[in-house]
Amino acid sequence: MNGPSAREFRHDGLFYRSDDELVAAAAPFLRDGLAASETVVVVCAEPRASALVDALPGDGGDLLVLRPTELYRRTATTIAALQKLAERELANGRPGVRVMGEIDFGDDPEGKAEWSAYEAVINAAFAHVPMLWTVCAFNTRDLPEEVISAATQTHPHLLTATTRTPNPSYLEPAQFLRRSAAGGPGWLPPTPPDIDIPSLADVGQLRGGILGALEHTGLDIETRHHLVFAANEVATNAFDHGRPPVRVRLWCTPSRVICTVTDSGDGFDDRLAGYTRIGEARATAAAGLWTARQLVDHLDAARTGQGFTVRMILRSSGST
Amino acid sequence: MALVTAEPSWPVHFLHLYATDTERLSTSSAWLRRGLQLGERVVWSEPSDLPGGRSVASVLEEGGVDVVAARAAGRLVQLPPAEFYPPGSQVTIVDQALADGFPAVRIAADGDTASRTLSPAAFVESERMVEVLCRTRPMSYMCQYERSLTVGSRLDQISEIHPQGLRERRGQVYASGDVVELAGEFDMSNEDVLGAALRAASGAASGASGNRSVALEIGLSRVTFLSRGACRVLVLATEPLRMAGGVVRLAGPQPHVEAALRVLELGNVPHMQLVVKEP
Repeated sequence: MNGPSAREFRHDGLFYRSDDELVAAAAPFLRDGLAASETVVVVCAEPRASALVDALPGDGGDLLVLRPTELYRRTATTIAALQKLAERELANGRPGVRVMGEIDFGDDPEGKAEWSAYEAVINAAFAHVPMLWTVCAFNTRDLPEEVISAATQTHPHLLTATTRTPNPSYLEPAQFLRRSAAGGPGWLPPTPPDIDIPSLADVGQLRGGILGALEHTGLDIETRHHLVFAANEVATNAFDHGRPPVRVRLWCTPSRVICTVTDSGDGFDDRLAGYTRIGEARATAAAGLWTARQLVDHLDAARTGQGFTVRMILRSSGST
Repeated sequence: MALVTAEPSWPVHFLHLYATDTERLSTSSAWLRRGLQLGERVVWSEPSDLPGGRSVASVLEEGGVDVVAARAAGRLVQLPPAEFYPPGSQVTIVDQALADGFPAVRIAADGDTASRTLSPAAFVESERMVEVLCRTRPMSYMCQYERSLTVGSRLDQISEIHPQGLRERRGQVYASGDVVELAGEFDMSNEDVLGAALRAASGAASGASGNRSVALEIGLSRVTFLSRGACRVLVLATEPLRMAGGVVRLAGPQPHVEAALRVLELGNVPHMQLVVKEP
């Protein structure tokens, strides 16, 4: 399976203007997968999911249909879920895994940027996951220009009803992320933080401080503990790999909780760090970052005037 | 916050790792005071040149114990290190207390002084003797070591001779046969302690089992935080036991700890099972 003949990870963009056009391009991809006994997954909203199923022989056979919210909840968990799916199915003897998905980019600019970044990141995160083939569908009539523009730069190949061709507009993931990264002024809220620990004595102090501050937010207890766990991992990285002092700040706004951990070191410039699932026995900074990414809605990092800052965001329920 | 924290029963022979002298005194005094309440003879030894002049006796006094009266009645006994640590002295101390009519004996010792006073072999022998005494006499024994000096191979060695467990500032690990109970928080500050205690406990459980495969239960219901590094320690410290065909059950984690274990997929580690309480 992983020998020289193994198919490398494929990630195609499918741009369509009508449901018929989507079905014409996607159905052969799905049909070929089913015929080869591959695991085939469609992650698509109605009525397009039913239109695709109807276009397949019989009742779709072993096709697995998921609603977008079942897979595309948080970028880092989606990556982990797809990687796990591919590993599990191949271990169970399937010759390959095909996923046709349509992300709900939502209305929030931050969410759109986050999912566009996801499209770039998976090219690197899945580079070593053989026999996984994902096709991402984009409705060019309805989706905003910035989403379409990003999609044309994040898919190495383009799929139509008749062709699969290399995408001349494709950018390497790191290049795409550097171009699209937010940063500079406005990266942090302008208001004073609810917590500001200028020099963290140890990670226990951070956990107590965060839990106390989150008590009066609308976040449920499970989500509060997720942030505590994520912040603990990021602060552990700061102590282990950065330079003291380690500063922790937390803002609780009506729509989100933002937590930053800043150390005085140089940090890293790898915008792809912490996206690839790592076994539990590995002790690396990336492993801590991967864990943190699983538990918050957004995590990014930048060199700032004060040092190296990792920012974690949890959105309050109801906000996107 | 649903953070449980009923105190598990303290084992009869255990290690206390203290970060500060205040912590050393408060922990030993609380433990010894409990012995006085139970009518036990309470014995301890500490150096005379203590920083700040504070001693177990002064902290007991501050806690309301009439130290003079307790000493006069033989309920409270402080011995100089030269009388306390030599091999064989522990047997004499315990047997004398029992002969004097006390139902049990409670002893707090400074392990760093013991290891400085005795040769390495005599030190290990003395600790092993205490372990045997604790199993054969009505007694309990707390060995206190300074945390900053107890790291690396020394931490492993000290943990191995205290297989019933340890407590430190944030976390506790108590072992009995095939069951290890964890309590408190485990993070970058004490992952090494967790690892050493688990290796000692799983080694003791494997050693006691002969050729039988061990099913080691690690009770997590009193754990309030487990970092990724600590989860990793659960995997690595039990690897020899699992590779030998044994099974490790991670039992009863609180929901937020369970969430961490699930994110890190500890239930998928070979020969490791996650056992969750029914809601």
